[in-house]
Amino acid sequence: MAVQTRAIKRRIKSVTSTRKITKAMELVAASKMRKAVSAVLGTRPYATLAWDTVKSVSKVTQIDLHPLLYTHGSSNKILLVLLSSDRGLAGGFNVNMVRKTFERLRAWEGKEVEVICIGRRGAHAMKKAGKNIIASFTDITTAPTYKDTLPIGRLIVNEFVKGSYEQVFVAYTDFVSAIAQQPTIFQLLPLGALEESKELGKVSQTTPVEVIRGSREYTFEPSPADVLNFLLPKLIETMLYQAVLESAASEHSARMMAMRNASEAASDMIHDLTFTYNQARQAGITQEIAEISSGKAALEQT
Amino acid sequence: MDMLSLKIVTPEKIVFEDSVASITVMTQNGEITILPHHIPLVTRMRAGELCCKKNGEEIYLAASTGFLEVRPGNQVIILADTAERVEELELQKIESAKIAAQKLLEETQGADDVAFANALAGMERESARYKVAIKRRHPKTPPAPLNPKTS
Repeated sequence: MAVQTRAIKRRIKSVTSTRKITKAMELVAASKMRKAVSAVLGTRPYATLAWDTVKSVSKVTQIDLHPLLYTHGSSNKILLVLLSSDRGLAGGFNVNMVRKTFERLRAWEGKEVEVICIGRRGAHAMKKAGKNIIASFTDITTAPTYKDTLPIGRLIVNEFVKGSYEQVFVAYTDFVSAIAQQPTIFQLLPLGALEESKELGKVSQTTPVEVIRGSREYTFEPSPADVLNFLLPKLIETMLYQAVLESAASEHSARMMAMRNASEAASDMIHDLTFTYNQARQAGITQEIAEISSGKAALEQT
Repeated sequence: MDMLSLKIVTPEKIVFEDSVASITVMTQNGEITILPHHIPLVTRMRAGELCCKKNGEEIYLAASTGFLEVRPGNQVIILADTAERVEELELQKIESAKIAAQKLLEETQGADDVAFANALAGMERESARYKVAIKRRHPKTPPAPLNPKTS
């Protein structure tokens, strides 16, 4: 009997210390999340407006004005930029992203897909699936800065202009709120022929500005080429940076929720175990009393 | 009277959002003023002063490089790298920043192109801030209107 209560006690102790750890991780994730969320919400209007601008501009200009507007060469390869986290313990964050990616890969059956991975988890999954990873960036997602994303943007633009790929897509987790994140895939290039894709941060967005289209041409000053040369590469960088920020905010939120759930589960478990422990203790006492009294009764009989 | 709905956005935040009567900005080709019913336009901005008028009142901002887009329907979007309202500018801080930028510019002269371009952009930005801040500190007689009254 004493053995059983001791075992339960040990179990309670170990669960309590686990709860301490998950609690601490929750707090860390929460503080990181606050930072990431304020960053993502701050840049979101800029990215959305810039994206709107490019969409409306690319619809009214001739496609051959800038190399980023149309596909080069006759390659039918697709480049996918997959954003995931470096570390696990973030609930369904990476799992959902990877699942969404595989869904999309099935839809692309027959086309060759190459991947750029940002974050270790996604890279592992892609490696397992036997996809061709042309580049893998790590240690960016926890605290992304604009500078970190620049080389990635440059790599994508260079490869696209060289004609290695027909289309470029970005797979990232859209930050909807602290409890909801949406894995999303959108087309980044070519800008001249975009499929209808979901906007970054669709929740905070009120109805997107619908540009009245028609024969109306945009005026470019000083010249279309000059403006596009400046605008488009910058936009690619901005969109990529925004996607990384969205992903980071989602990661920290997902981790915070996962850790909160873990802490709650630990609390429940401690409650159950304490109940069992008390039962066992009570049973032990009762049994001891029964033994003593039966022993005494036996003595009196003799 | 028709108004322009103006939005000035930087990567950090939305700096300004209001309807105004006119907007005067520095572009690559020089200063332009946008009035309601402007045709759709996309242009590159230079670091400089940005002035919008509303009900006869002038609002000054210091903006750095970026884009200006005039959308159909009297919407104007300014995507700037940085932008501050005059009230946010602190002259002393700007002066020291300007000196630092100048120093950096001299140091990087002849060094690699990227560093020099960065330093130059920094210098331009600080100069623009300085100009706007000075103007606000020593308000002279209001400058002659750059455009005919729209009312």
